[in-house]
Amino acid sequence: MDIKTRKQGDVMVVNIGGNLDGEAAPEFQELIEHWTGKDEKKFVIDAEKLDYISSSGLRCFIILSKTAKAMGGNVVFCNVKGMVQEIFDISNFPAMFSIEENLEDALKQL
Amino acid sequence: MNTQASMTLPARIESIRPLREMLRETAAGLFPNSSDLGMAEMALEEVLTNIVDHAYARESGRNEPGDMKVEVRAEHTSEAAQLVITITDQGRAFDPLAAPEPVLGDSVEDVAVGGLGIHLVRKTMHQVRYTREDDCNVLTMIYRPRHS
Repeated sequence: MDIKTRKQGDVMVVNIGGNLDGEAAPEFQELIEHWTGKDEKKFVIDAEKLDYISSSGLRCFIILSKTAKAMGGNVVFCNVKGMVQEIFDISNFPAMFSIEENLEDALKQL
Repeated sequence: MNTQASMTLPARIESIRPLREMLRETAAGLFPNSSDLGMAEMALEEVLTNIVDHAYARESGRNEPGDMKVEVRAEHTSEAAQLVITITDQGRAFDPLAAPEPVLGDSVEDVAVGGLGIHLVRKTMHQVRYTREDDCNVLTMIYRPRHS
């Protein structure tokens, strides 16, 4: 897992690359706690470089979203493709989350 | 032409990565679309994670977990290219297919945080079969690309 973040206005843009699997999930979970602990509540997850995800990774996204919403914010995804898109589809993510084509559209949702 | 491989490792978290790598190597080139290999790998990770978490859970004071064995066979049938994955453990009897379907609501507030793994396996695999044989759990999964 490779994570790069930057702030765009009050939105935290998270570029996540590589594998978000059972091995990487605890580290990502810690980052989520760190960000939300600093009152970050609006997130764009840019999945362009995310190659692989399993249920451990999905669980992190669900927790992030629940936490952000409880704080009055939200999570929007963009550039979801390949197997990650297939896993999102069979997990009903398109009904639960905003998933946009690109970063520009994702930022408009927040 | 068929390719196959088999590996047995202790049921620990750190065994999952080499077993996934074995699957990738055995199935290399089997499917034209690269996301298929990822889907099959994901299903294997889900099943192995379950075994690590539950199969040998603090059973009768044992310190060492038992083994988990993975056999992978890449084959071309007359219908399709497919990957046959057989996972065996000697833990307590557990049929993952008997687990209830998770609730997948239309809002993130409704969705439960757990229970997704086996759901993904069911949805991804062409076929999944569980049997209890000689005090072992044997799960056989067949992966075929859904889009070809």
